[in-house]
Amino acid sequence: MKKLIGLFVFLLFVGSQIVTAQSKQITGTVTSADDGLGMPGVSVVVKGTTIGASTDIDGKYSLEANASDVLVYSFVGMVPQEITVGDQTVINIVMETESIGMDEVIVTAIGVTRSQKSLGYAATSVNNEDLTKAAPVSALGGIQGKVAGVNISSASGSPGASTKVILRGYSSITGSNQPLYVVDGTPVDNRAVGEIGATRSTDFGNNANDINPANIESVTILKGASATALYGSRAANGVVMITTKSGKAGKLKVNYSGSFDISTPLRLPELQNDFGQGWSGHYASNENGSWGPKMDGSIRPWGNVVDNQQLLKPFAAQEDNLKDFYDLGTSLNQSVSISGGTDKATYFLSYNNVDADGIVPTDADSYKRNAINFKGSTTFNKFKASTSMNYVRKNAKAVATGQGSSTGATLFQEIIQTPRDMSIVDMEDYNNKFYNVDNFYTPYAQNPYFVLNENGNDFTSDRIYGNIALDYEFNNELSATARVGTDVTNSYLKDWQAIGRPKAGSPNYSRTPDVGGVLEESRHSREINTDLIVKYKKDLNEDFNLNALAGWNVTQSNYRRQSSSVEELTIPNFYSLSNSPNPATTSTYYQKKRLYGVYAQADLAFRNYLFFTLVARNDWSSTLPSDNNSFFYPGASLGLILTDAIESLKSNTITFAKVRGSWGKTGNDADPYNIFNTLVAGNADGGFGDLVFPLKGVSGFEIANQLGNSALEPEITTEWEFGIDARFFDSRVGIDFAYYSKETDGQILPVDIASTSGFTSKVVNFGKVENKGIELQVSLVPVRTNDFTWDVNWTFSNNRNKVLELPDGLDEYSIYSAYGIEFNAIVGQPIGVFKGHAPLRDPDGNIVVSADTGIPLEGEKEVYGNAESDFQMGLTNNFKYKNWNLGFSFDYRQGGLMYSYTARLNYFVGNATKTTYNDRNPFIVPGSVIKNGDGSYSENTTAVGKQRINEYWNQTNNKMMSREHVLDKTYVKMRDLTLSYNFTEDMLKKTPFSQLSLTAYGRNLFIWTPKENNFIDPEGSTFGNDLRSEFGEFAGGPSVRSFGLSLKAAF
Amino acid sequence: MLTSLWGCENDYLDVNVDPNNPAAEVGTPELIFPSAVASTAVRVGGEYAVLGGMWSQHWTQSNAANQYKSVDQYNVTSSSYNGSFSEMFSGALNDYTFVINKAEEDENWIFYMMGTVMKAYNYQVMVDLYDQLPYDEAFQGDANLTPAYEGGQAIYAKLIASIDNALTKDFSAGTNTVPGKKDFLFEGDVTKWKQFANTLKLKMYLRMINAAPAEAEAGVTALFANGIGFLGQDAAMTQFEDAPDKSNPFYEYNFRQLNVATNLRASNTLMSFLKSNSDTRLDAIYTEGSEGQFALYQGQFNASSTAIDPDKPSVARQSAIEPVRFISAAESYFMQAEAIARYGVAGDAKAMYDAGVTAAFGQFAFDSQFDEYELDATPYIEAGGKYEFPAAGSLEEKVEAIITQKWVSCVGSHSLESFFEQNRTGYPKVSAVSGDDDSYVPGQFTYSLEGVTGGLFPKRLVFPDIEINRNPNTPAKVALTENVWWAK
Repeated sequence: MKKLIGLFVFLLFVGSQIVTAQSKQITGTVTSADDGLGMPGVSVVVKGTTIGASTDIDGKYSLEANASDVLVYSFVGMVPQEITVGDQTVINIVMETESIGMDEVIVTAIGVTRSQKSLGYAATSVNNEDLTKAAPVSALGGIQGKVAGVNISSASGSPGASTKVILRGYSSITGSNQPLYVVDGTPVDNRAVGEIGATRSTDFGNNANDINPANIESVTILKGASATALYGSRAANGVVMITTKSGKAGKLKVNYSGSFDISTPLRLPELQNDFGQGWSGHYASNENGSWGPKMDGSIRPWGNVVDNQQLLKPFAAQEDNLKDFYDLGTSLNQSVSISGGTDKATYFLSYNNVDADGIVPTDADSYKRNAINFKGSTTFNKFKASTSMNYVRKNAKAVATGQGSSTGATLFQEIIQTPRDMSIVDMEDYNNKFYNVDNFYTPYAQNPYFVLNENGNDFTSDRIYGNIALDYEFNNELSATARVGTDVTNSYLKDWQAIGRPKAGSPNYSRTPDVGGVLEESRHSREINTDLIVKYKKDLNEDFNLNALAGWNVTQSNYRRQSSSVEELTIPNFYSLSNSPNPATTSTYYQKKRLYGVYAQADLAFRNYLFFTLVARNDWSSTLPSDNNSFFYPGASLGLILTDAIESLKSNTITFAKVRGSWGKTGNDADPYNIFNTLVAGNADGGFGDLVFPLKGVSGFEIANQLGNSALEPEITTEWEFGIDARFFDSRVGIDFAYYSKETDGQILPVDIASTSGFTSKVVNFGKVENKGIELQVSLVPVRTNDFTWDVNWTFSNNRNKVLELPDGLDEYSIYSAYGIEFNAIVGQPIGVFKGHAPLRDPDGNIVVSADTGIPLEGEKEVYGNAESDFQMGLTNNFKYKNWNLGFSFDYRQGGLMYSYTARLNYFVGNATKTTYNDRNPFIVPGSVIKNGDGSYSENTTAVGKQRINEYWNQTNNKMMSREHVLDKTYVKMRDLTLSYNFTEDMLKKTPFSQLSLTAYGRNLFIWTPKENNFIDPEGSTFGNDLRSEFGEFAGGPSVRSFGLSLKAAF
Repeated sequence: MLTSLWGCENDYLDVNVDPNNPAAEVGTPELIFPSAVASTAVRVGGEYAVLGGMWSQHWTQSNAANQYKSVDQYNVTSSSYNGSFSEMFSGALNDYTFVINKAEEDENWIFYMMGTVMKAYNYQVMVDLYDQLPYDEAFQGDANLTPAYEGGQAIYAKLIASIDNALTKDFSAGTNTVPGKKDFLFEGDVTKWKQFANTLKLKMYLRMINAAPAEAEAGVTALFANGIGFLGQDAAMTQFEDAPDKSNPFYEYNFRQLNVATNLRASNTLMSFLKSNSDTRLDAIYTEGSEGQFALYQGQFNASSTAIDPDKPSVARQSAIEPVRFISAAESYFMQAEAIARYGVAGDAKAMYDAGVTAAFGQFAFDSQFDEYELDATPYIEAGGKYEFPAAGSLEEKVEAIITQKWVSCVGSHSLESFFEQNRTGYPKVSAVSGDDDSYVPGQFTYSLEGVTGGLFPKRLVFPDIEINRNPNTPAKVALTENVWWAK
């Protein structure tokens, strides 16, 4: 876009070259530091005069100047340069992108390009270079830590795992908090595929991960309501606007980028290494925990006696048994593109291939992506037609997390239950008679290698997304655009678990057999988005410029899911729905949603320093009651460039200063089918296992437990923000500050109601949630010389979330709960309060224990804290010396809590470090009391006996242990480290390359967490990528660190 | 299409009718009744049966697993049994209410009675567990999201009145529909439904003997005179098969879905009783451990694996196709025996008792896996037999014999009933000594070795969190060990 504008400027300047008699002829070429190519349209002006020239299509220029003249080279978005002519006659210039420049052009809602300085709201862009520096497979990974107010985390270290992006906090308690992703003007689907929850969950990533970072020109993040209102109801949580690369006029260009990296576990649980296999303080050869005696290194037989043989091993800690289990992950990511065009037509064609295999041995965690992208445009008179089309095919396998079920176990849960004296890798041969299903050392857990090799899944998806647009320019002032976009995905999942049935009479016969199972699932989603936009721009007079648009939008989305499964297999290793004595369970789900809207925006600029924007949209949605389905939301913003309005303010100290303020609303409709009461197919919920109709040929339906609501209204978010944008000391210090406050009213959500009313939930509009926060971005250029530049970028944000109101009679709303931990919305507190068990306390606050066992008694549940971080920071440093570039960034998140089942299970099996408290000798709970028969309390003298120490640490027996499972999720991560070398044009002269750079990079190289969390990487979650993900993890896999090399070349 | 879009017509947006689930308006009693019965069965015969069986001392927690420790140590709190409470109200009772209302509208009186009797049965179980519950204000949906609570005795009276009202309807009217297979209990046999109604009322009147003796006696007397008679067969749901989500809910819950299916082990209380009487049901009730039939003392789950090899204690035995008996034939006979013994109403207490024991031994006939055992009651009830009715004994001796036999007959999906009956009658008695004492009388209850209630036995459930948190009318917490209104 920069270059198009440049071309326009070039045309203006063509006629204005002035030749002066005394001067000499200066010639030269202006090239871009980005790609080494000549830059057309760069203005070259003799300072203090109107004499100048503009570069031609190859970046060449010539003009006449005196030796004493100073030439000023400028181009929108690039660092201007001043050169004294002296005795030079050839002056070649390399222009650098202006990283903190204010003339940067930014793409705003509906594809309107505006200069950054004119905006009345916060909008941050990340360009391709920053995005792809550490060669992430997902574009979202490249933004991590670089934009204030954006919370980005990966669900796990598995390749292709979903990425969570939350802008300015959570607004919706049960609805979506996902931003809207817009690619080249058309919203795309960001559905996540997989199962989330506590039982057997899989994560095949979210659709926004499909976008190839190498193809992205820039990502702009629009956070506030006034910035996003034009996109309608789905943009209520912000917009991530992605502009992909286009072909440019000029000769054919071929670009290649490739990266290869290896990964290893970043964070594994740190475990105790003192006590070995056993339970209740005794050695027991069939236990899945480390509650046995102290390990003494003596050689002991272990496991079961098979054929009168038994294995021997030292009773000593296997300190690295977890680490040894994992192997190296690899990831190869390659993109090649061909682009070019003429001034009438452009094209850009690219192919991307990703082939990744995670750290779990075998290809059980692998991800393959093949994508083709075409973008082209052609101009004919006043018409311009353009298209952007993408095809993505993914093949993935994911390791199931969470708990196992009757059909089969899950990997990480089995690994955790390994006594500290046992090697995991030694059991790799799961057909070996000592390690097989019948004779594996314990009946309480499964050989992880059996789970890994015999259970698995295959996921494939085919997706096409893109748009076709037609522009017509009536005249210089009026133009129109029609754009039709679509996003169609078909995916298929097959998931299977093997039969694991210990033979009658074998040592593990008491274990409930894994009966095996198969699931097949097809999903189809389709979205069509049509926009018709009329744009008008006019310079009203010398002072006022108007830019206006009006549009009409219609959106339809369809979704279909068909799923069939069988539980219990007849023939081993044959995975078909036919292979079961039980009938297949099938389910289908269809969804259709339609919406249309009209919108308008007017930008009024006064003398190029005062900018006022009005925006409004009205939507009609199919998901609201038909007599009340229309909703309207307006917005306004104001930007004032102080340094232009009051010229005396501007100096070398204060280069630029802008204040901005905005106010706006966004509306959000309901999910489909929440208006009417329904019947649902008969399924009597038994807790563990159900009674599912039909039963013996009788079908049954029941009254749905959720009450519909025929008076639903859309939820409306009102937001205002205020910001300052300033540059100091020749733009070497920049500050961008924003304060925002938003309130989401009339939340649509199913509220739990007393089941004695006959129903368990009701969809209502209720309550308010508030998010307030600050976002600060500070950029510094501590050193800038010809050869050396040091850039620092620091982002800080904090968000304060607060639930202001809940429905009548409720002061608490449960979002999720598991294993005694509740995750609630409570009035006056941030969404996501953790509440859990606590010990009984006497009036003085002492813990009351059982006089018989010495173990604390259960008291009322108490609030532990909430999931919200106190703040988060990102720090990026970049050093550039000649052709070398060294960069690294840190990400720091402070505070907030999360649940960890990994912690829970490690306490249960006695592997957690804290369980060696008092060297596992009997102890009296400090400061504990017992309750006497008369209601009084007296000092406790009952110690927790040796055989009960495992009970003390087991939450089932000692409820207060729940507190140990909720961890502080503070962390500091070294997000990336990159070292790159750019070959100069001179060096490449004799090669076919026009540009070549090599980068060595590392991602997530190190993590620091507080002492209490020595279990997991707190960034991970097994609960999807929305609010529920803040609950935490359920036997998730480890996160990873990666090291790699990447190469970028142009021909 | 474009024109309609430009016109902003609502037709285009009229796509919000759920294609996945039918509208509530199409519901009929035939459609809803079976799933309501399944909801009752899945909980009464499932999770509640595990509770009932442990608190009736049929079973105790294994010393090699953890699943039911908190139940076995009477450490049951408001965070327990939320799912069951919810399923019983929003799954079963709300659906019965729909059936009753819709059937009344359509004058479909057979379904009206079926719905009324099942609702009363379901309520009786819940009232006996929780003592106080919403009744008049319940199941009003939007009209009342926070129903007020009423006492158990008042609810009992209303349940009996509702049954009496239902029994007056015209079951031969042309507006009736034929339930057929939609009636899991009796395939629409009105006579049997009337007997079920009569037997249910008998159960409720007998429950009242401590709290309202006069009313109980009058009620029982009237039931024996009304000519309807009592159940001579199980009122049960039998439509189970050995497949996931299709089998007996207790089997599904405890055996199929848990990764350790051996949590429930033999309790010394019941096993010592069966052994001391050489009762042949022993092998049908428990699967032998590694050294034959062996029991843990109630709550002995902390015995170390070196002290007691975890494979040694016998495991609870269960069939995937066991019926869920709402009222069993044996129970019906035992209640009649008690009524005759207590109030001298027409009949022969011994004959009824003998019929009860015979029916109890016959309860295993549904599954051929039990065929190998000699399950014949005759040698036990004949003169000089271990279970001979104490015809010459005192009323208390008779009641003890009847209730003790009922206790044994309830093992499995019906075990909640024996827990209630122990609370009502005090039988089986609570032992004064521990189970390993030489003077221990086999079959007497012993306090859980890991009990947390200071020697007091559990008598009820505490209100669940889902009700406390959502309904401000929920009464203040009453301790687990407090008697419900009818208890002894």
